[in-house]
Amino acid sequence: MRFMRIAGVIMLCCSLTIACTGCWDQTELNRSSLVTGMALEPGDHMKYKVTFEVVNALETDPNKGGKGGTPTAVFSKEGNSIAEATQKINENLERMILISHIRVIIIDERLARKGINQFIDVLQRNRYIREDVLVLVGKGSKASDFLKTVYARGQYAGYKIQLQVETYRKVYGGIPRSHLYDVAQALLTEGRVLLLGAISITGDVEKSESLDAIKTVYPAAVVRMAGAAVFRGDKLIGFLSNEHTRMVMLASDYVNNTLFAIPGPDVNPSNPGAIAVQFYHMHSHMHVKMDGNTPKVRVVVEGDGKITSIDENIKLSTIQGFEKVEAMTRDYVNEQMLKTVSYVQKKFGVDVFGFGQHYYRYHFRKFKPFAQNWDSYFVKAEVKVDSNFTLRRPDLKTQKVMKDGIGP
Amino acid sequence: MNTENQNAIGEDPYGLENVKKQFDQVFGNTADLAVVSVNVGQYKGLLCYLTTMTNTDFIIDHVLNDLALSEQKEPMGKEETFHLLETIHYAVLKHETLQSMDTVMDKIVLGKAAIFIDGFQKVLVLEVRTLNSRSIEEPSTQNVVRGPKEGFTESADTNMSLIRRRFNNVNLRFERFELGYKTHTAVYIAYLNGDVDEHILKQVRDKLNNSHIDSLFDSAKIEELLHSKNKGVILFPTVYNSERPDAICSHMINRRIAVLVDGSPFVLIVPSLFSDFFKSPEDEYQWSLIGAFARCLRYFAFILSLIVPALYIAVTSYHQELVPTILLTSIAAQREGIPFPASIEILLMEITFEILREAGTRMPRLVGPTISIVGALVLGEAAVQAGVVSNINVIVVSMTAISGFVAPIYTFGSKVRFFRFGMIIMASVIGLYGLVLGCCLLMVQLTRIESFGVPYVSLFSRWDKRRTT
Repeated sequence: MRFMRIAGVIMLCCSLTIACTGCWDQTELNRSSLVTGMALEPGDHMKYKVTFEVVNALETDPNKGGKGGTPTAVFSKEGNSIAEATQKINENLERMILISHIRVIIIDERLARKGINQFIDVLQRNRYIREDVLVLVGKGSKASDFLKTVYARGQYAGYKIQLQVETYRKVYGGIPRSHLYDVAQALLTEGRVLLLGAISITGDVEKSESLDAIKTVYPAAVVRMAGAAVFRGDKLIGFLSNEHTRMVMLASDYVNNTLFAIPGPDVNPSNPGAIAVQFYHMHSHMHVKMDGNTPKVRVVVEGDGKITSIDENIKLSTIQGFEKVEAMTRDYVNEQMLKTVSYVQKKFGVDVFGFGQHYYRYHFRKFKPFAQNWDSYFVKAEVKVDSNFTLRRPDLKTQKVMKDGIGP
Repeated sequence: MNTENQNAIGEDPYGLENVKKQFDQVFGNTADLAVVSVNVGQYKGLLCYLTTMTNTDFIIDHVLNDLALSEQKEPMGKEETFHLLETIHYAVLKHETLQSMDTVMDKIVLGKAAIFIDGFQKVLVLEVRTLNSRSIEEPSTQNVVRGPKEGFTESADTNMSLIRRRFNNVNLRFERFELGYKTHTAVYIAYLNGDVDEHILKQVRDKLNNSHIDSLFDSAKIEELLHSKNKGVILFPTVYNSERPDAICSHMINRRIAVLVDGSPFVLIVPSLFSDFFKSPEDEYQWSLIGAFARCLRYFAFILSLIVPALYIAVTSYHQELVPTILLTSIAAQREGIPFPASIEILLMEITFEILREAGTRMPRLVGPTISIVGALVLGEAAVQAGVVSNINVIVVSMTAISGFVAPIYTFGSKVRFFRFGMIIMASVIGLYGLVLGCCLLMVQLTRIESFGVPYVSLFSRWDKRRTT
């Protein structure tokens, strides 16, 4: 009897497997498609146009090689809300879409200028969209164009852009951290405005849409990093160049590794001999206090680094040589930082550095009266930059390889 | 052997004719019974033994020669002759003096020789048992690179001697039991007196004494018997078995009881814990860190073989968001054009593998290579080429299979295989939730199990004595 019961249970389980798989939320991989990129722009007929980059998995497999088709296909749909447009994607596409693997969400410049708050909710609410997905602003081109630039590596555009942003941030720091949670954080926090990464396209997008484009050595169009998009509230107000973005990020301690090209000691307009110094382990912190209605900010930047190149010979065999280069770096960074601060103060008048946030965090009660109009105080802020760089090594060569010269 | 037979016999049951008659009645005309007329001193006598259980050379050398010597002695009474045999001639051989015919018959079945003196009431029973058995060989399961190469054989005597040789210790005890009312198979328990927990010893004795089995051909049946009354036991084996004397002895040192069954090279150890099934004797013979690493690896492989296929199904058909994108595209590319859902595909391959394995074990050695050709080429390569199953599926199934074989004890590995199917079914019906649920159920069951009162998952071999008594 007992055996029969056990056998019965096993039979039941087996029949459950056969009958019930696929009932609930099961999605077979070969009946669904991965979405790796999403572009949002104003629609021609409706409010939004949503473009999805859908992976054709077979073509991305390097072993099977596919049949020479494109690794991705781009589908656009219009709707009065993002969710509506997303649901309508199957008008054109035969498979269910898996949106949990979106790598980048590209927001069109035009849409961002109107404000992102109205549609960001759908991204934050959806449980399948990861919090660390990149949210970027497409500068100068339609957002959907970014997903159409295919590239010789055979990977899909979304992945390429994501990796590019991560790598660029790691080696240079010229683009802000702009994950989905950074958006929420910046929108909620006091004393700092939202900065999103900006990307632009150089080259001809129309040529790049075809697979022939990836067969050339020189890509017809490439996506390039274009610094940061500055928001006031949730509305885009302008862009910062890569160099300015780097300084902003440096002040807020988001840069770890970067390289400065310092004008050499003998500044000669026709031949500015430069010294390149690369820094790693960079850190910064700031001190904010209020002097009446004027914020007094002191930014301290520290870093370890090495000399990457020197155009003019500097004597590096003594410690004074290093100290000289360190002093030059200090001056250069201080100057650049101040330039960026005054540029942001004049051009945008919003606190992208997070001085207000720092003040809010460390002197909550003192910050309270200024909270409402922090940006108007930020414009008047007096910033002082103290940097302290240490050069650890001159790399392989101490002196520049150069003949000493004999004789008189 | 009943009283009726004895009643039918005439006045003197120890007269030679009557003895012969009794043998005829009890043994019938079995071909291997030898009833030989001999002279014992001045009297006529009978030598009875089973040719199949004894060695004829031994009987000629040690029994008949001495009988011949006794003939040359001066005449004396039966009692004295018997005494002479007992104390002089057969003093070295293990012998006993019996009076009941029934017991004599039983002893003969065990491979002893009985000497009757015409009309005398005592029977001398001699230990002349010599069996042809397999010589000690390297064990075929539980191989080690470093360590003793001896393995148990089918003969319990040899096995006991293998254990005794490792314990030159007066405290080593062997207790004999007879199980199976048709086969009367000898079962021995071995333990170190004083070390072992009396309570557990009593439990084992009781279980062996109260068994009602008709036959016993392998220790597996005893394993089942010992296993069956433990608490919550259907899931994992609570009795350890090994073909290696060193493994058994190292357990006995840890206060365990060994159970030897005549006719089985697998010796059992009770009580056994979960962690015992992850130990190989070799762990102790090499650098401790290597041993510890190997053990960790076995635990890891155990978990792998239990959940990998289920995890694959759950993740690819319910929780795609958990897989790294690149891996997912790679899996998706391979799944492209596969006609079955992932769960059916995995089940298909798992069952195929089980069939393959079963065929591999049962197959005659000579046709063995066929299996590997068919298995590797046809099922692995061609199935993928034909697009019936995907590459990743083959990887998952083979990884599981290999992990399953890591378990040093075969019985444990085979149980894991069984649960794997449960996990697959759970995962394919309700995804990761099912898998977690399955693991929880397994864990709950695992912690419930007790092996002779010792909690199964206690990781230390020296358990808390207070718990068991």
